Amino acid sequence: MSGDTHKVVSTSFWSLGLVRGLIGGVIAWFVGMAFVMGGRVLFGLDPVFSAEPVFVGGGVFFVLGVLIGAGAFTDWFSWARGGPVGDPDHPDPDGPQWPRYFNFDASHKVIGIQYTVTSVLTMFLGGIFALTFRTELAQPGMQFLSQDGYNTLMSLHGIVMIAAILLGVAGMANYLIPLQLGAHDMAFPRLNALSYWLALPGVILVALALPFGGFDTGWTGYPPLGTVAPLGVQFFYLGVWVVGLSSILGSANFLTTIFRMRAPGMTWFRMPIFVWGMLATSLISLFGTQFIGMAFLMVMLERLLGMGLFTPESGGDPLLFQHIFWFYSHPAVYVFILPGLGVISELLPVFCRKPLFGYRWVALSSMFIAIVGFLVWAHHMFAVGLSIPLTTFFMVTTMLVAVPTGVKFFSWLATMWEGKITFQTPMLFVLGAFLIFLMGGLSGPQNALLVTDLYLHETYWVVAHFHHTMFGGFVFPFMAAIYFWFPKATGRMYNETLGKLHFWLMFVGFFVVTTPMFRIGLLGMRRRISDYDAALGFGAHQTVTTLGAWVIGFSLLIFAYNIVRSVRSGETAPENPWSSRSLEWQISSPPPELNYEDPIIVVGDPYDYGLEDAPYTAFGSATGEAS
Amino acid sequence: MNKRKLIGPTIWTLIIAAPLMLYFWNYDTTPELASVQGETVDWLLRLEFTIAAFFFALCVVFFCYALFAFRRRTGDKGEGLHFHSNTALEIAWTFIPLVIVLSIAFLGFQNLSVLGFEEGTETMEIEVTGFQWAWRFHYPEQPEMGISQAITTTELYLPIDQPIHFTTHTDDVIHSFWIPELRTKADAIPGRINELNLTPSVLGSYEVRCAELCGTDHAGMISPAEVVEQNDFVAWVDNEIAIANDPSLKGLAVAKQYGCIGCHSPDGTELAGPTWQGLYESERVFDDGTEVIADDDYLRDSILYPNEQIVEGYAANIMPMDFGERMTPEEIEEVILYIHGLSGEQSEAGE
Repeated sequence: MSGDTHKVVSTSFWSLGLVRGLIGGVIAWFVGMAFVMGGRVLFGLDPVFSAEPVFVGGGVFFVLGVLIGAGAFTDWFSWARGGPVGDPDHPDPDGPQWPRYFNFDASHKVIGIQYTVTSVLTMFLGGIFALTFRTELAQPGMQFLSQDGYNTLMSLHGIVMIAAILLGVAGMANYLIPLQLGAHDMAFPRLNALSYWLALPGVILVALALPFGGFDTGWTGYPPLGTVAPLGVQFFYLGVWVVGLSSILGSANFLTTIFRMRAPGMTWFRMPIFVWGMLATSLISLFGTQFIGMAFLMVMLERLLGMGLFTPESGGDPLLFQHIFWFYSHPAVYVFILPGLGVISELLPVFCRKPLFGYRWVALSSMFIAIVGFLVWAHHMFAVGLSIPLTTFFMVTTMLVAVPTGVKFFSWLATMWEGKITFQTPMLFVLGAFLIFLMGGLSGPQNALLVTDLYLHETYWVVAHFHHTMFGGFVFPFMAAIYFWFPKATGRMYNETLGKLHFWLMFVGFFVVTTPMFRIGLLGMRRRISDYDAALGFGAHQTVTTLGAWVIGFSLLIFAYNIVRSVRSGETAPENPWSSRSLEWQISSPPPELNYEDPIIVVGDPYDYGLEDAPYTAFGSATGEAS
Repeated sequence: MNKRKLIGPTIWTLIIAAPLMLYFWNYDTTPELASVQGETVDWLLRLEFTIAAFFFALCVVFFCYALFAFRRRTGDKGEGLHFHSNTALEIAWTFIPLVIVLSIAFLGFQNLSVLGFEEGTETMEIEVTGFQWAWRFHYPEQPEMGISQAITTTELYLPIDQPIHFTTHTDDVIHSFWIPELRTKADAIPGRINELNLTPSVLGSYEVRCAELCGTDHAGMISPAEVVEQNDFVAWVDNEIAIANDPSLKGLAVAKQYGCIGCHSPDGTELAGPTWQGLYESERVFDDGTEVIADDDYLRDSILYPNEQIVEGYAANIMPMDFGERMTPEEIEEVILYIHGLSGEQSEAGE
């Protein structure tokens, strides 16, 4: 590519993709509303301004407006007209770099950071929702929220956190997969940027459910409750649909990259274990996400067009929704945790200075979880009255998930065995994740048997179990990953003392949250209730849980301060601060625009720590050496 | 690898696992048990907790031991011991857990029978209907159970030791019928009839609590459930039948059937909607400041168009707006007649 095709990076506020995207989105919103109203005039529908279809039309156009405004289609439009098309991999190297993070930029490292920052901000939003209703729950009786206010915040907390997790997974994967594979970028850089710029308006739409009346369905959005909920529920459905589309495009990109762009010599069983986790995750996302999209779209259509898909009087069936919904939404929890478990497996060898024990078993256990994960969905529906054969099938498949999960735990213990363990912040988060996920795993099988689940279903037991799997499987590994790869992405070190303080507060705070939840869940505390009878005696437990939640919130402020401060003025990081063998640590930090200026090849196994003369990588030409 | 290093943590695992497992095997983590079926639930829960306690002790002991024994000593610059797999070990820790989880699944399968009754069991039928946000219970005519005439109530009375076959229904969204002390629950799903089999075994006052998110007042969707002696049950049924057959109380039966008294008390108790006690011919003040005397037309309009006039201090959009479709005109008149009977003077006269 010659220099004149470089994209010119402007630093003016009004030229930023984010600003233009939001302006474009707002304009398109009104265009969309006018479009729907025009259609209503054309077909003689009365009234012309019927709030729900008109606002939903605005929401759909909003997404397109953001994409067009941000410049997602600029290259494609130019190409269609026969005009010049800039190479997405060659932005202007001399101009300022910061506007790239606010623009439609195709570099996987820029997109990875965009995703990660958006994920953390979204997580803060979901956390604020949680702290608000958790404070309301601290004492019996309604203090400062209405019942609908509680229901909306509780529902939004769920779905906003899920969106944040999907963004976080995409953030880690975008930044790390090409680097860990020795590739210069993702397979489809523009599609990659499109995925991010779809996810952004998707998250905004979900958050817009709040000003548009909220919704009281929980993140599951079951009809018929979803069909009679306030207008806000439409923005929740639509936003999830858009985030889901982003997730599908992203996973197609990850899979292609993993299949096609590995460095010479990197066979399947020489891939970093995190990439195995992402491979399994992407397979689930690619084959599963359509189902939640379809389920939500069907409710939207039922509301907008009066289709009786889930209404028995019109020949529909509410259980149909639950089957379609859970066919993705159970595997989705493995989308959330498999990358996190990959981070644990990736970091343990580095901080134990030992090979990952049973690499192949660990890698294949992720694949096994991904496959079996598609066969367990109806365990969420045990209380609807399934037949005995179906129940039995889903009990057995659900119990089977415990086996590959156990393989991971035992392999991690064996990896630590006879190691030389050090306890820097990323390792602390990995170790914390181990204990938290262990409790999540051990509180799972009780829900897998129909007889015991008919008691535990819809209680705080399930809430505590789920939060253990999410914190152990995603949040703690995600924090570990941010601290671990922070020097790689920024070239600076974070503050170790603040990092450790963050860990200890968050770790202790988390158990303070969940331990009382397990207890009162077993005593019959229902989940998703805005208030509880003081006579049940759960007030003290709820107060403790709320205090723990505030401790977690406070620890995240320390985290945010540490990150912001270290990005600006952290010490310069050594080239390979963790003495990692992985590819990304063999080049400068932050990595050059195209990652590997000298071709890198893979000549050994990834985790041979402690073995002399067993290099994993070498620089040079691919010929002859990769055997 | 030095195998002797495994001895210490193995012993510690046994030392810690044994009391932990004994604790979970003997300690009831659940509230008071009041059904025959619940014994199996609690037994299986205890078994699962006991097995989980073993794996918890195993993982945590080895984890803590490794953190302590294999920590990097100051000044040590070396790498860990190089070993990366052991096929026998890996097969063992795949297949032993596999056998354990399949055994648990088998036990779970074997005990599914507890959710039904043996063939030939004489069961009492109760139809449970959930609606936003209350329950009603319909006892069909079952002379052999002491129910000589069908009744509909808002309280659930259950005779002790009587196998009961519940069917669950809903008027609107999905609800879930659950009495925690009786353990198992069943969703109530539009267009479907779900069932639940329970035999209450301990006298007491419990609560039916909705266990499936159903909108605004899901938290408050609670009804009393009493497990009583057989003869107390029959006495209660006879009393309910007498109420249903009293023409002046006919409207009460209708009001119970449609859940009116879930929000409007007949005795002055403050609920989500205004009480009916002393309502008839009283002066109503609305949230827009207007006033009216509560006559028949006012009562009828309030049932048919509940959002038109909201009494001061109460919220709009709580009461369903489809009673005009669901109730017959005669039923509405019966409810209005019943409200007549609750006006202040007559109540005093009755006392």
